[in-house]
Amino acid sequence: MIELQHVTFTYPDGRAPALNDVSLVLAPGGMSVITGPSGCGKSTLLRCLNGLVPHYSGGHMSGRIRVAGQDPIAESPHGMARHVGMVQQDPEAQFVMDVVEDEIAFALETSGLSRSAMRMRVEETLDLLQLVPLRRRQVLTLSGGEKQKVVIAAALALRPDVLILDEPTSQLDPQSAETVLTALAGLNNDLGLTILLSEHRLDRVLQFADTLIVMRAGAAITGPTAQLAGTLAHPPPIIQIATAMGWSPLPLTIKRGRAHSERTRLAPAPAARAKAPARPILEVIGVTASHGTNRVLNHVSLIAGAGELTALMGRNGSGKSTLLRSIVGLQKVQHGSIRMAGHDISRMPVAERCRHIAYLPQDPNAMLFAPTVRDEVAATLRNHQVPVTEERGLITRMLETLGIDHLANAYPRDLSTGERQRVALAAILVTNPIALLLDEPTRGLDGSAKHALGTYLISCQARGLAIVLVTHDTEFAAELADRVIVLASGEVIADGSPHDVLAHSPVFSTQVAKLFPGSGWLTATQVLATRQPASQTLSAENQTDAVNLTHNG
Amino acid sequence: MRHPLGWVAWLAACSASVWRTRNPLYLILAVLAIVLVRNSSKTESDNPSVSSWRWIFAMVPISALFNALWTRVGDTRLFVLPDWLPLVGGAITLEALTYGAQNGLVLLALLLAFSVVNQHLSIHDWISFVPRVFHQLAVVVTIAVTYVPLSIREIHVIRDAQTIRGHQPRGARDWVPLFVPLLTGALERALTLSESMAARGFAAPVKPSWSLQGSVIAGAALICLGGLTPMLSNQIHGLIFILPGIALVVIALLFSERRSGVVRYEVQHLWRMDMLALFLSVVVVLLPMAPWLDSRSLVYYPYPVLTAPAFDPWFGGGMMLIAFPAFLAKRSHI
Repeated sequence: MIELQHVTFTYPDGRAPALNDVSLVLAPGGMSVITGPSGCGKSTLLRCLNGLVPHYSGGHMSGRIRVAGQDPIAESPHGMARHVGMVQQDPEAQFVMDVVEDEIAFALETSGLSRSAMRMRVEETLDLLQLVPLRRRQVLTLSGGEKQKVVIAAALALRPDVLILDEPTSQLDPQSAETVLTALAGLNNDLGLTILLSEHRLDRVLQFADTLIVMRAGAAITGPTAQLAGTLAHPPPIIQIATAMGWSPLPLTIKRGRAHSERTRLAPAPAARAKAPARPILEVIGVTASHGTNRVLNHVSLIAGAGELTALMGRNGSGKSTLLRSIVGLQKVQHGSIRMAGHDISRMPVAERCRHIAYLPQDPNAMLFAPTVRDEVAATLRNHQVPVTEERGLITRMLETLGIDHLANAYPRDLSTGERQRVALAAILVTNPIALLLDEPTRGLDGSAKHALGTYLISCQARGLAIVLVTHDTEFAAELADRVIVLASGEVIADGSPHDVLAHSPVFSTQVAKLFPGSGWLTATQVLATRQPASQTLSAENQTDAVNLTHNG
Repeated sequence: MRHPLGWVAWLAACSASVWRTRNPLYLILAVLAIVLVRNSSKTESDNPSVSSWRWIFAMVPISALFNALWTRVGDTRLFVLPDWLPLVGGAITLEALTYGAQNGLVLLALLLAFSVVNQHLSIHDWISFVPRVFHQLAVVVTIAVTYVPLSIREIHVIRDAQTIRGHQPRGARDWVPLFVPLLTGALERALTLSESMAARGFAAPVKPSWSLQGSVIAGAALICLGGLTPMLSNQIHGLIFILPGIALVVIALLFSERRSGVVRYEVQHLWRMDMLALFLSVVVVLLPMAPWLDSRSLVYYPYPVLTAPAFDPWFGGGMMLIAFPAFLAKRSHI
C-alpha cells in the first residue's frame, strides 16, 4: 500500500536532509506508528505520502514513493485527496465549516458526487465514528476527542485507502485520546483501512500498532512492533519492565503483560515514609471562581510547601487551569483567599505576583515574540524594571541552568517544542520566584524533552521551589510528585501521596500499577530498583539505541 | 423557521426598519424585539460568541460619549471642558449626547440583528447564497471572517501570557509582544488550514474551457468599449456595446455554474413557516409606507433643544413585529 525507495528530501533552507535514504514497505490494512524525537522527520515523512511535501514546502527530493499505486509527486495533494486522508495535531485549526455534518460534507461538494451519493457517504461516515448525535452541533462546542473524531470523519468522507495522522492525540486528555484511538482501531479492524500515525505517547498507541517505524535524524527503521519496541530510547513502562525481566514475546498490552507479571515475585512497596511538613509557600484557602454563570472552582483549598511538587489531575474542564490562573490573579476569585509565604496576595497585581510565582501556561508560543532567546528573557527583566547592569549576568545564569545557553542567539520560534518550552521557562523563572506553576508542560514533548523537564523540576525542588503541576500524564506525575490532588467539577475529590491516589484508581493508575495490582509500585524505575543493584537499574539513557538496528528497506 | 432565506429576509426587514427612523422610542422597541428573538433561540448555548453581546451593548454609551465630545451644537449645557484641551475642549450638551445615543441605538440594533442571524445560519448556509461558480471564493472569504472570533480568543491568551511576565503596554512599542505572537500564530493556523483543505481536495483545478474564458474576455472587452464610446460619440452608441457585453458575461457565468463541479450537499426547502416569515418581513418593510400613516414621528432631531419624541402606535407595532421569529420558533417547537 505504501512504498518508499531511497527517499531523501531536503527543505529549501535545510542544511541536512529531513529524510535521509528512507526505504520502507507497509502492507495494506495495517496500522503503523512512527516515533522518534522532535524534528526527526516524522511529519515530513507523513506529508510526503499525500504530496504536501514537496508541493507545499518546496525543497529537493530524490527516490521513489508509491501510495495506493499512485505517485504523490506527480498527482499533487489535490489528486491524492481521494487516496490519502490526513489528520493533523490541532483539530480546531483544521475546521473549515462550523457544523459537524457540513464539515464532513465539505470535501464531497467538490468531488463530483451526486447529492444522493453525498448524503449516503455522510450518513455512513457519521455512523462509522459514532457521530450521529453530534451531527448538528457547532464544532467549537465539542470536547477535544469529539473534535478530533470529526476531523477523522471529514478525512474519511472521500473514502481514502490510507489514513495518515500527525500526533492526533498530542493535544488531548487521556479519556479523549482513548476515544480517538479506539475509533481508529475500529476503522483498522473492521474496514481494513491502512493507518499510519506519528506519536510521542507510545504508552497510548503501541498496543494498536502492527508495525513500528523508528526515526532519528531523517533515517527510518521499520519492523514488527513487538520486535522494535524493546529497542526504543524512551519505551513505555511496560516495555521497560518486560525488556529488563526478559519477558518473551514482548507484551504490548497490560492484559498480556499480566500473564508474565503474575509469575513474577515482587516485594510489596514499602509504606510511604511520612515527610516532615514543608514550610508553606502557597496557600489556597476555600477559593471559589466562576466563568460567567458557570462555577468552575468550589471552595478549593491547597497548600504547596517549599521543595514540594504537587500534581493536579482531573478530566478536562475540572478546574485545574482555572486554579492556577486564580493563584496568579488572571482569574477573579469570588470567595476565599490566596497567601504567598504567609501574606495575603488577593489584592496584589498580576505582574507583581508573577515576579514571585512563575506560571507556565499551556501554550508557551503565546509568550515568544523576541528575535533571540536572550532578548526574550531580557524582556521579562525589563518588564519588572530590573537594572540593566544586572541583566546580563541573570540571563546567562538562567540559560545555563536550563541548558539552552548555546541557543542564546537563536530565534525562539524556530526551536523544537521542548526547546521553546525551556525558553518560556527561562523567561518566567529569571525573576527568581519562590513557586512554579506549570499547566500541562509535557504536552507535545518527545521522550528526551520530557526526561529533561523532569530532571529540571527535581533541581527546582532541591532549590526549595514550591511546584504545582497540572498534568494528564500519570506516568510523569507518578515519577515526580510528592502529592497528587484530583479535581472534579471544581472540587477536590482526592488528595494524598501518589501511592494513595494513583495506585488504585481505574482512571489515573499507571501502567506499572495495573501490571502489578496491589503491590503498591507505581513506576518502572521503582520496580526495577527492587530487582537489580542500583548500578544496573534500567534507565532511558542506557537502552539500546534504535538507530543501531539494521535497515529493513 | 428553517430556511436561511427566512433569516436573511428578517435581517433585511430589521435593517430597513432601523435605518428609516431616528426616533429613540422606535429604536428601543426594535432592540427589545431583536433581544426577544435572541432569547427565544434554542441554539443559544451552542453559540460561543454569545459572551460578545455585552460589547455590542457598549455601542450606545460609546457613541453618545464620542458625539458629546466632538459636537458643539445644542442649548442645554451639561458642563464645560477647558478650552486648552485639544479637540474636546468646550461645552458638552445634552442634545449632542442624545444624538450620539440615537446613532448608537441604530448601530446596536443592526449589530444585534446580524449576530442573531449569524447564530442561526451556518457557514454552509451563507455559502449557499453565493453562485456555485464562486464557491471557492465564498469559502475563502467565509474562513477569513471566521478568523475574527478565533483571533479575539487568541488575543486574550497572548495578553495573559505577557501579563504573567510583568508586561504592561504603555507606548506603541509595548504592543510588539502582543502583535508578534498574534501574527505568527495566525500564519501558522492559516498554513495548517490550507494544508488540511488541500489534503481534502479543495481547489482541485478544473480544466479551463477556452470558449467560456473567451466569452468572458470578449464580454468584458465590449463593456469597456461601451464605457469609452460616449467620450467619442453619444451614450446610446455606448449601450450598443455594453448590453451585449453584459449578456455575454452572464451567459458565460451560467455555463460555468454548470461546469463548476460543485454540488450542494443540502438544499433547504421552503416550509410553511419560512413562507410566513418571508411574508411578515415584507409587511415589516412596507407597513411604514402605508398611505394612511403620518410618517413624521419617524424623524427625530434633538437639536437645538431636546424635546420629547412623538409616538405612533402603528409604527410602534410595526417595530414589535420584528419579533415574529420568536413566535414562529415557539410554534415550530410545538
